[in-house]
Amino acid sequence: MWKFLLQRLLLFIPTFLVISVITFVLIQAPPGDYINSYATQLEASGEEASEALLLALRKRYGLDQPVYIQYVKWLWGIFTRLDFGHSMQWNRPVGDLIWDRLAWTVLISFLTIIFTWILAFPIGIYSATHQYSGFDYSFTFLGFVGAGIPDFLLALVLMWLGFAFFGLDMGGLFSEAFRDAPWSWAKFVDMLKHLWVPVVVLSVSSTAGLIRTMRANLLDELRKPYVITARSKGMTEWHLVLKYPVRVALNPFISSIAYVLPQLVSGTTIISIVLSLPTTGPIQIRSLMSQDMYLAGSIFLLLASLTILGTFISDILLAVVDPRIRLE
Amino acid sequence: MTRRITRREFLVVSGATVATGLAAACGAGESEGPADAAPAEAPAADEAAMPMGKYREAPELSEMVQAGLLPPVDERLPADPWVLPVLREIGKYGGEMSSIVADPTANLFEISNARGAAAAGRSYDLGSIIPIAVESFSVNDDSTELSVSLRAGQKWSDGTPFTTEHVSFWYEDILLNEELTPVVNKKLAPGGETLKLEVEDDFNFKLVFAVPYPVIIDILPSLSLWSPKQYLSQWHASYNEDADAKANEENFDAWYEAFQYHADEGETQQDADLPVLGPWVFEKQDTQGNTTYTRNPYYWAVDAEGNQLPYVDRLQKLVVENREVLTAKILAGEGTHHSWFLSLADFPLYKQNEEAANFTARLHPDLRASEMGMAFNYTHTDPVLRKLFNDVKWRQALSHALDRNEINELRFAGRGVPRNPIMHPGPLFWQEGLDQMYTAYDVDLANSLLDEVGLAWDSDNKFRLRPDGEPLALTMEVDAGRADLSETGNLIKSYWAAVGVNINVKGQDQQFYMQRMRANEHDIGVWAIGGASEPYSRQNEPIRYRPPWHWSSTPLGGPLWRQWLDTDGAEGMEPPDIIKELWETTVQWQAETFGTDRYKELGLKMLQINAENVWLIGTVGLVPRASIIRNTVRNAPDSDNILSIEYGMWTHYQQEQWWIDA
Amino acid sequence: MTVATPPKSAEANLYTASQWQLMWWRFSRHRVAVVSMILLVFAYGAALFAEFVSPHDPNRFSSSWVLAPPMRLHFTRPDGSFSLRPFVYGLTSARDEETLAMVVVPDETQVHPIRFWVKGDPYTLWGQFDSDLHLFGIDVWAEQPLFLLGADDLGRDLFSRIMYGARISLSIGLLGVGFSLLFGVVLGGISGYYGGLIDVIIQRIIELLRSLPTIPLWLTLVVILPPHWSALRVYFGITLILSLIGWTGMARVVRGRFLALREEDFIMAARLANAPQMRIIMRHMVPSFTSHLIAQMTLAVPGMILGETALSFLGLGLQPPVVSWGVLLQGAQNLRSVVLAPWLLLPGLFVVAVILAFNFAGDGLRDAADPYAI
Repeated sequence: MWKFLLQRLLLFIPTFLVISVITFVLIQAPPGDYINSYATQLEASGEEASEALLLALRKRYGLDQPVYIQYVKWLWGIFTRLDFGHSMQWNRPVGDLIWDRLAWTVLISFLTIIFTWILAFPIGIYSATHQYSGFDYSFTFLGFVGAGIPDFLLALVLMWLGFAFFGLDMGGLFSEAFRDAPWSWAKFVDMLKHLWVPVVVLSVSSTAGLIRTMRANLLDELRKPYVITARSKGMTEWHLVLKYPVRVALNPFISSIAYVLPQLVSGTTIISIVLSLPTTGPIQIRSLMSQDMYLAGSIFLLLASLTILGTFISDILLAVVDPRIRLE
Repeated sequence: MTRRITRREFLVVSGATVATGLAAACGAGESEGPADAAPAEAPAADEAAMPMGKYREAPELSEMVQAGLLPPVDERLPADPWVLPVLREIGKYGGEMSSIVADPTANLFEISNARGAAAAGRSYDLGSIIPIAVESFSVNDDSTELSVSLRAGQKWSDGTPFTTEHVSFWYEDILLNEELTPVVNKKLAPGGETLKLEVEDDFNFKLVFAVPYPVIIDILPSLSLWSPKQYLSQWHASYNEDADAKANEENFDAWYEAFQYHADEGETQQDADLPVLGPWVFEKQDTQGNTTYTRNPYYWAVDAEGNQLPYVDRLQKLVVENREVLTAKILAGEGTHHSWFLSLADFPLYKQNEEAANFTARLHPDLRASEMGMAFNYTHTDPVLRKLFNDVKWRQALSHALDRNEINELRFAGRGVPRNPIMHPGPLFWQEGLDQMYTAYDVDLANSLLDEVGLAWDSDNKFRLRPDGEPLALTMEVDAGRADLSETGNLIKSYWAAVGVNINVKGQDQQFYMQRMRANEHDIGVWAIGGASEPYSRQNEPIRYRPPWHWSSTPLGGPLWRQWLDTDGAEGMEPPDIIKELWETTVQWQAETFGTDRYKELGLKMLQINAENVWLIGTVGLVPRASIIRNTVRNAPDSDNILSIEYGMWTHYQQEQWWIDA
Repeated sequence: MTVATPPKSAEANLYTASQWQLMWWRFSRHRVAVVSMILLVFAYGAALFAEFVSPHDPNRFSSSWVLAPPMRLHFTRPDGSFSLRPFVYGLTSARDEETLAMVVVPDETQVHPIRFWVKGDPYTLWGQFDSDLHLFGIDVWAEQPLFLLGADDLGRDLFSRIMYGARISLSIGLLGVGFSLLFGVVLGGISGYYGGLIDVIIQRIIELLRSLPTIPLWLTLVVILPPHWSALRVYFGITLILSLIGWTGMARVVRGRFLALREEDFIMAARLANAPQMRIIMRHMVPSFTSHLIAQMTLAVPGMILGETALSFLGLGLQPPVVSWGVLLQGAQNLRSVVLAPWLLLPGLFVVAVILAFNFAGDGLRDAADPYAI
């Protein structure tokens, strides 16, 4: 078990390095840099952007140095001081900008996973134990519909419905009254009022997959001889299903963290733009467009690391729950 | 996504710290001066609780005075404060003004316009320039010196008296410091030589120019010639030997980075202790960009009854992540006033929600010359195309081929004016009808002109051929970030196809597109053509007066001509005589004193040359700008008032005299 | 499509039927899957013949019909008489000078019956065949529009635009899956064939790619696409980017199947019977995982289509004048559309319908892929 953990942990470090290299290469790849996009803005607003000025700005931001030096400096700052560089567009350290946003991204993703489980777990069991029943079909259908609706569209329509028919203020995570207020019960309730929309929208698209997995796994288990044995011994059906097959069929839920997490973080990006949530999504797309490279790079690096960490956690949980994996 | 104006950083680097909002005052001749103001309601301040002084202040400030946190208002104000005429009525203290922006680092004019305090501002009729943050200014006879007098007793928001010391600090330690100002803005270096500062005493100084520089008055509203030395000098290497160490402690690599971080008073300001002169002071900004500003207790302006301004307690800039959430919030009645992020297409939606949200949606005159302008590349590398583009009949034909009325109906609710992008009818030397030349929709005329040019039809009778017999196919590249341009571009494509001219509209990354234009690689250059005010054109490049370039460094059409003119014929391609003549005329016009007969004559000549040569083909201009103002907001502009970026949006409708009727 | 179920009388055939026949029988028992398949055939047919199926030129605009609502098909004339041939009323429009909205209303005095095989806007099918024949339309097509699904903000026919958009959106799904298949089979094959270090490396890469959040990755990648690319190349570029994640799934299936099949008894039997390696692979192994691959591919298409809409939504996908469902949805993703012209969201319905069809069809194929399972 410990060996297994250590192995996974050691793997994490090279993975992180590989991702950081990929990240840096990717954000450096588009032609031009922040100063170019800045000059474009200047011109568009009627100012003159002379070559001398651009040169001076490039020097100031260290953009005149070779790429590998920029990379090493950036990585060194991260490892030694947890300093992710300076956002040129915001005139602030990247660290100041991303931690809250990252926290919100994680929170929304986490809540969505929980919500998805709460939905998928009973529905999956029901569908498996009542295979080909009307409900089974309906759930399958609904699940597929949910998976088929582009999430930005759903979010936009929900936002409008909430506003037009319930007078809800949908954008952001807090109402105007609470935006500046310190944390309190009322503020928490206000947050929940805003949080359900993204959570529901995100769940709609990922629940279907989980229901299908749960159903398929449970069906496999239900056909196994030990179930028949238990049944023949007179165990109540309810007790029997929950005690053994469901426990085994639960594994995919835990391992689902590994593949659901990247999906959720992905989905959060889009939903956040539609619903104006303070996650990493909106700031990432903006920084990419303006080539604010340290900001864009750090966000991608952190998101990727987080999802890999999620995979790591699900591996451990799986090893804890399922002894067979430990023995492998 | 949005047109982002972040000139702050540029101007910091180039030495001209821009005042984000340009304050201005009502002209003396305005009918809505203080004399006409509605009968005053007593300000909310409790007079009984106040020691009887000359001036009155907001209740929150009185409380602070009583608590001993602030000196009394009479001591905070200069002996002779600026008396700001209110637009309609004397207001009451209190309330909050807020607006919403869909991009945290973008300039939200609704709020930033309120905060500035430049040396000068524009009068209500936009015609004259009057002192704002200074007592007075004057230019000597040959326009080589600008003399400025500061207001004695005027104070920074931290209570420090405002003197020429702050001007010297800006000049010596910022403008002339090579680390802080690697390149001096052309505006501050007339004749190629950086202007000189001569300080006379605590309240009087002079700016001296190497060459006559009459335009200095026109740029004054965009300059603030000082910096809070009392605060910023601690990060400056000339004042603090350990400035670099201090910067390192704050996680900056060098002192000038720390300095600029603390000196930032634009949209990304972080330091709440930075003293300012404007009516509101930065309080805080969260990580999403939501920003709050509070009243400056030392603001040096009063209304006609001696109430210290501003009336409104706080300003709020709210940030959302996209335009639709912004629209939803506006429709829900959030924010006090909006315009910059509104769209004409959404106007029916605004109107529908007026009552429920308690606001009024209006249309204001705006001054954009054309929502879209197209210039052919007159220095195209292909000689056949170059010859074709330079044939004025070709340009006239394509101008006649456009149904501008339909474009107007489709895209601008029929509210714009079909025209070519000659200046808006604002200049002193405007002549009716110039913008209407060659704009009548006439397919037959267009076809016969194209026949005259020598463009035969192909065998299918579908498109025309080039004079050399090759198929004529041009690419019109537009900024992919501007969906409106590519939409209109596709309309134009179909109009031109009807007369046999085949163009392909292609959305292109803005940066890359501009690169291509600079490199003379494009067929047709496209941009929205603004309508810069006359003084603005005079102060910067008169870009609107000399198409086809539009911009100085990224010419829409004919970049090689421009290069030739800039290098005195050393590089580029020699332009035809008419272009040289236009160039000469603009140079002379810029140097001429404003308003003289010669000035008007030269100006008219520029317009006529442009109109006759159709270098820029336009669609629809003078499209009104929408605004939404909450019904409780008083002293705000009405639908007759121009709302235009060219005049700084809300700037000359001074927000310090707006008030909230709760 | 006529074979619905295996003929009962021929139960004995079951034992001699080919694998594909078995698959088909099994698939055809899955009614929803069959319906879905038919739907997909129609959808792709419409996309292929978009010029012919659309009543209008998708780029034909008119200021008179801005945001015209969908037309109702009528069967009862104003005088009360019944008409078997559906007809629509003509439109009139005027601008509301207060709100600036264009108000488009049906004019009951103009009756336009809908006919099949009518002349209309000229077009060039597949860039080859000039024609002006349309599947359906109205006689006065030059003056009056036929807006089955309403018009957009330039007064263009939404139905025609959806048909043209299908061409891009549906093909991007297939092409993307094609790319995924190519990468997946090659890399999965290499991984399974060579094993050892290469296998480990490829597996690690797959693991890494799968654990990266896709949208942020796509965003970062899309920004790299050279800006001077033509619309067609951008289209291929975006397809490639979308399949960058897709291939990992494909590679896993290929490798997994390959490894599993090697252990199967029938392969062992073939080997014992001294069948040549090539024959074992081509005759026995490939067919058994081809069906799985087809199912897997079908299930991967929705992701591609949704990916395209998501990128368009973020303004990073295809751009107008290219018409795709994503582009149409991007144009509609504003409150103005939701409130004043909700029909502009209809492309979303088409997206959902096609994805639903792909999912059900894929489900059916997956079940059918294993004809001997219960």
